Amino acid sequence: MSDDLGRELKELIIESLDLEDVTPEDIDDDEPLFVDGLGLDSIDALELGMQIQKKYNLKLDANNEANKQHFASVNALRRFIESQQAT
Amino acid sequence: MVFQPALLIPCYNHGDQIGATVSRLAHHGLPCLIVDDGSDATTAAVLDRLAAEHEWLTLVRLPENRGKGAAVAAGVDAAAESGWTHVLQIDADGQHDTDDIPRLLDKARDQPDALVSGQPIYDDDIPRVRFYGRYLTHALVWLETLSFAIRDSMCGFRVYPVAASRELFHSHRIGRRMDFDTDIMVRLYWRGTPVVFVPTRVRYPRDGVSHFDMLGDNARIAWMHARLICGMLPRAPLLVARRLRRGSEKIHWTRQAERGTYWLMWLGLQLYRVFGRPGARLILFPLVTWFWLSNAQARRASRDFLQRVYEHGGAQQRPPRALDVYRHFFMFSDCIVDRLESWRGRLRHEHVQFNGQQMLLDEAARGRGAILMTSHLGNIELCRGLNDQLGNLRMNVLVYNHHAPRINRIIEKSNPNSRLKLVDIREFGMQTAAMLEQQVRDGEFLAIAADRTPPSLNENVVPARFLGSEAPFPTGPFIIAALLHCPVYLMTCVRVEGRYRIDVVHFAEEITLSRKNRDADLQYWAQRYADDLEARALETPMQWFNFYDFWGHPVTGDGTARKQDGYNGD
Repeated sequence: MSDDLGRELKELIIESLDLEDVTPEDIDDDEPLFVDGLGLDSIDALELGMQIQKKYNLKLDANNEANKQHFASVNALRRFIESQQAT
Repeated sequence: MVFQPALLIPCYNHGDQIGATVSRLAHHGLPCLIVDDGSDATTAAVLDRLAAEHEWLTLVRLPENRGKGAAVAAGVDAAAESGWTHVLQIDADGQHDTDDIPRLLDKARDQPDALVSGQPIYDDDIPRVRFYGRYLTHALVWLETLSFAIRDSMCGFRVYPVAASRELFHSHRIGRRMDFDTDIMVRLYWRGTPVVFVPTRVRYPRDGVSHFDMLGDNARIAWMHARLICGMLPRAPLLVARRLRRGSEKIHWTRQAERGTYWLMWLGLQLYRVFGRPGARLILFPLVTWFWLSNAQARRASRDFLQRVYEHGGAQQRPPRALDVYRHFFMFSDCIVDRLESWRGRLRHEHVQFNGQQMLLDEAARGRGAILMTSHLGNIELCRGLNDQLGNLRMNVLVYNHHAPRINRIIEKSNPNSRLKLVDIREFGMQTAAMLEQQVRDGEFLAIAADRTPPSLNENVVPARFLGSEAPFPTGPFIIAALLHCPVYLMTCVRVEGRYRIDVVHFAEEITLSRKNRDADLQYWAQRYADDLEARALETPMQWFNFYDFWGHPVTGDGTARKQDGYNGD
């Protein structure tokens, strides 16, 4: 099930950000999403944050640093979503 | 310079408390002067006994009661004769925290030329009326010194430099009673004595003897301020020059505005309450004149703007002169008064024409909100007071201002029915975005000014042509609009022929930014915004309230819209 979530997240990232030449297979689970790896920037982050929040009904942190950790990679994001859904 | 401090206590009928105050001072190991300001026989006897018991106490006796100012003057004379260089004045009634004496003296040792004053932090037991009275005094003192240097002029807990104070006492009649503390501080400041502050706790003694005489002292204080304001006028050029010497660095508009806006608004509102429009004008006009005199940067900005309007065939029909610039500044103060009037609910329907109102009501009827892009052309803040016309639309104004919560409290106080709130977006992150999105989905409107760059310069700005050359515009408002996927309207409120005219025009059903051409897209939207703003600025140039170099800080070439350091949470 977590693998499904991983794939779902990758599809969501590609779709919501309009990443035309990227397929889910191109995104590594532990690869940093921002700057180095996938090269997303702060505006992408905001857009992604909105989409993920809506889809999974999450409560984001008021602390931006914490959010930065949650959105560091696909795996980090998956852990964050699972922890929120568990509670 | 030798530093020989002594304590100084003026005492008038505080026989009950003086013993306790003296006993708290013994361990400081300092000589102490007590000036008996014509106290009654009981207190006089207490003082005699204390002076006999403690050899570090010196008693100076005035034959009759002359007031605190006279007592301090006598103490300063006595100190000079004993060779002391500084006197630390303490009230006899025990309201000053004697534990802070070493901190005041340390400061005085560091800056022996300065007047070192306690800056009171009050316990909750201060009487309400006196608390408000203090703020009125602060503002008057700012006007009298043309500076914000004096943060509190009423706390008597101070270290006076003996030489400078003595000179002043001998050459000038200083207020002798409740007007003394403020009078001497302002006059020392005028003569070039720096004034520095040390925070200290102050207690209002419940059972204390208060010598405040409501009628006489208030009249005395009013008369003192009248004299000080008159005294300020001939000194104005010197005071302004002094201020300019101290700090002429370029200041970003947010900091410039923060300097006094909050207190100015507060004070204006209080005066408005009591004296109506003339009262508010009384305080705002001199402040604007002062701003005009002292702020060369703002004068240049105004002239440059008006020149461009003239060149583009706008309503400024001659090359701008000094008088035009002054009128431009004046318009600003008038605008503040109008704003207060509207916040107090005194602006009536017939004074306001609202074009496009129906579009907003229609959006609200559809159960969704929108973004209203505003500017600093005209008096958009006036709309805060127009609940009726806005049909109870809920408004959130997005600002870069950490005073937002305080200003919200002011709005609430002045108009409890207000449906408007300020939201501070300096720390814009995912959570802020999500909150705003929820508000729009709940049918609330978000107003955001799109003509001023965010506080951190050269970040998140995009160039757009405005009145002949490129100016930096913020990307933030357009990015927020794109994130929220909601309709965008432009909204202005200008005064035309004595009436206010609000214009709402449709700007975009949705702002979209393609990922590949995001910078170009942002530039497109910013340019469309700038074009609309330009047309309006040409029509009412005197209501352009961006008094800084609007075209300054050129936008650097590539990708400024996007932060190169990647996602860092905003």
